[in-house]
Amino acid sequence: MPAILLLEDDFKMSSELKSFFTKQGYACDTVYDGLIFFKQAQMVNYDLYILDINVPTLNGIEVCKKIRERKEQVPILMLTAYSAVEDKVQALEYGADDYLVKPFHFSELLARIKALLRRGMVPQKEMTIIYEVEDLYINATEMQVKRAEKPINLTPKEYKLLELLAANKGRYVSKQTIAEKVWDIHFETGTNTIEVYINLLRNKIDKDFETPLIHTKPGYGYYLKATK
Amino acid sequence: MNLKQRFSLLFSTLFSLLLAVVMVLVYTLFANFRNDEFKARLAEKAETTFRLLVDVKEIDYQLLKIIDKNTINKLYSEKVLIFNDSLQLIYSSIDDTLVTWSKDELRLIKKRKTVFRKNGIFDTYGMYYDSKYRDYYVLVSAEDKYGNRKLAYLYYLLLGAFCVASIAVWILSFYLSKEALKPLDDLRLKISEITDKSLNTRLTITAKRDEITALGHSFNQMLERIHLAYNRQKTFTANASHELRTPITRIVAQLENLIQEYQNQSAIHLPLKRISDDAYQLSDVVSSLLLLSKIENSASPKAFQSIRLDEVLFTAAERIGQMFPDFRFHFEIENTAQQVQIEVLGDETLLGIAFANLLKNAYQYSDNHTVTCVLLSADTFLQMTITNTGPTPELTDTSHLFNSFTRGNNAQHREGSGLGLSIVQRIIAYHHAQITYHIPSINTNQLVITFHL
Repeated sequence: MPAILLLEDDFKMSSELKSFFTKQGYACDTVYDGLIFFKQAQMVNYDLYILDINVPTLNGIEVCKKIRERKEQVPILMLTAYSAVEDKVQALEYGADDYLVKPFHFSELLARIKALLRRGMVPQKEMTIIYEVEDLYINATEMQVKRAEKPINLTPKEYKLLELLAANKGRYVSKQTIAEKVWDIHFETGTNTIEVYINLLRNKIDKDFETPLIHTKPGYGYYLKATK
Repeated sequence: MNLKQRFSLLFSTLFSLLLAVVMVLVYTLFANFRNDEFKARLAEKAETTFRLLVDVKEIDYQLLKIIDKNTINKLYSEKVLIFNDSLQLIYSSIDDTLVTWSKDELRLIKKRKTVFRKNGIFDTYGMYYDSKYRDYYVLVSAEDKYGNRKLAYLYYLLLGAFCVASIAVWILSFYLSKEALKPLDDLRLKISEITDKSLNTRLTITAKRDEITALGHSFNQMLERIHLAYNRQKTFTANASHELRTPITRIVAQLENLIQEYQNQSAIHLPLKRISDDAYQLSDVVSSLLLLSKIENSASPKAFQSIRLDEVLFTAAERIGQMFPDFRFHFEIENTAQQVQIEVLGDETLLGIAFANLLKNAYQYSDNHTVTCVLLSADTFLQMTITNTGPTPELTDTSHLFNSFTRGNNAQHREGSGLGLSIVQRIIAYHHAQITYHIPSINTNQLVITFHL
C-alpha cells in the first residue's frame, strides 16, 4: 500500500484528506508543521509527500527545498491556496514534482497522485537507461538529450517520441503506435500531425548535422538508426 | 457641431449681422443726405429760374436761355420746364434731356406745392408757384452725378469693408476659439487615454488659475476617488475569493468522503453527488474570480517567454482528461508556412488556464464528449481552432459570450458561472491575440484564437 505523508495545518482539511486517501487505498499520515514533518519522515519511508505551503515553522516551499537538498527522490505534490504564477514556478524550481491549487477536483488530485507514484516506482539511480545512436545520446532517466556533446532542448512530447524511436533500436515504429504511445489515452490524431512532429524532431536532431538519424520507411513508419 | 464651432459661428454671425446693420444705416443716412441736398439745389434752381422769368421784367424767354446756357453753377443734364396755370409749357431750357411729365403730375404738384421724385438717373423737383395774378408750375430735372458717385463709392467701400471685416472675424473667431479651447482639447485627449488599468495616472495641471485648470484639478480628485473605490472593490474580490478557497476545499473533501462512504446507498449517494457538483461549481467560480482579479491587478505584462503552444494544449487536455475520464481529444496540425512554427511568446500558466477553460467548455457543451482542436501554422499567424458538436447559442448571444457572468441560451440546465470565456478572453487579450466565436454549421460550436507572429 503506497504511503503518503501530508503536511497541512488545517486540522479539518487534513483529517478529511486523510480519510479520503485511506478510502482510495493509500496509507496516510498527517503532520501540522514543517519541523515535525522531518521527524515523521525520518521514522517511516513514504512514497509521496503532499505539502501545503502556508504552514507554521517551516513553510511548504522551505520543506521542499530541504528534502531535495538531502537528495531524497520521493515525489512531492504541492497543495495550496496560493495560485500566483511565481509561487508555482518557485515550488517547481525547489524540486516539487507537481502543484495543485485549492480548491481542486478530487479526481484531478487522485490522477496526479497516481502519476507521481508511477513515476516514483521507476527505479532511481541504480539503473540509468541510456540510448546511444551514433553521436546522439539520450539519458532516459534524466530526460536529457545531446548530440555531438551539444545539449538539445526537446518538449515533453518530442522527447517521448524520440525515446519511443530509440527504445525500438532501429526497428520501425508505425504512426498508429506513435499516436498511442506518445499521447495519452484521451488523444486521437490524424497521421499528418505525426508527420509534423517527426519534422519538428528532425529539425532539432538532424538539421544541423551531416548524417540524418531519423528515417522514414514509407508506408510503415519511422526508425532511428545510424546510417553507417 | 462642437462647442468651439458653435461659439465661433455664433460670434461671427452676430458680428457680421451687426456690421451689416451699421453699414446699411450709414448708407441709408448718406443716401438721404444726398437726396435732401440735391433737392435743395433743385429747389433753388427752380426758384431762381422762375424768378428770373416771371418776376424780373427785363429778362425774357430768350435771355433766360442765354443766361441758362452760360451759368457756371450748372447742374448735370439739367432741364427746367415752366408751365402756366392752364398747364401749358411756357419755358423749356435748351438741354434736350427728356423730362417725362403729365398733367396729372402737375395737378399733384398743385395739390402738394412741391414734389420730388426719382426717374432713373434723374431727380426731378416740381414746384407750384402761386404768384399774385397767375399760377406757375416749375419742373426741374437733373442728374446728381457727384452725389451719386459719392454714394456709389460709399456703397463699394462699405461692401468691401464688410466682406474684409467679416472674413477676418470668421477666421479669427474660429482660430481664437480653437486656441482658447486647446487646453480643453488636450485635457480631453489625456482623459480619453485613461483606462481601468491606468487609473493611477493624473493630469498635469499648470499654475494658471483658469477654468480648465480647475476642471483638471476636479477631474484628478474624481480619479483619486474612483481609483480608491476600484482598488477597494478589487482587493475585496481577491480577498473574499481567497478566504473562500479553504472552506470550499474542506466542503468538497468532506463530500468526497461521504460519497465514498455511501457508494451503495443511492438514496443518499445521489443527493450527495449533486451537492458535490454544486460545491465544485462554487469552487470554480471562486478560482475564476481570483484569477480575473489577478490578471487585472498585474499592471504591466510580465516578460513573456517563448512557449510551445502544442505542449500547453496537451497539458491542458491531460488535466481535463483527469477530471473527466470520458473526455476525447482530437488534435491536428495544419501547416501553410514554410516551416512549422508553433511557438508563441506568452505566459505558460495563464495560457494553460485559458486552454483548459476552453477544452472544458467544449467538452461540457458537446454531445459526444469529443473536442477537436486544429493548430494552423501560417507565415504570419498561428491559429488554434477548438470545435465541438452540440447545441449552439442563438446568434444574438454570441457577441456577449465573452462578458463576465453571461451564458448562452444553450447553457440552461448546465453547470457553469459564465466566467470561463471572460477569463479566456482576458488572457488572450493579455497576449495581444484575438478570440472569436463561430457557428460554422448547425450544431457546431467553434472558437478561434489567432496569435500574430
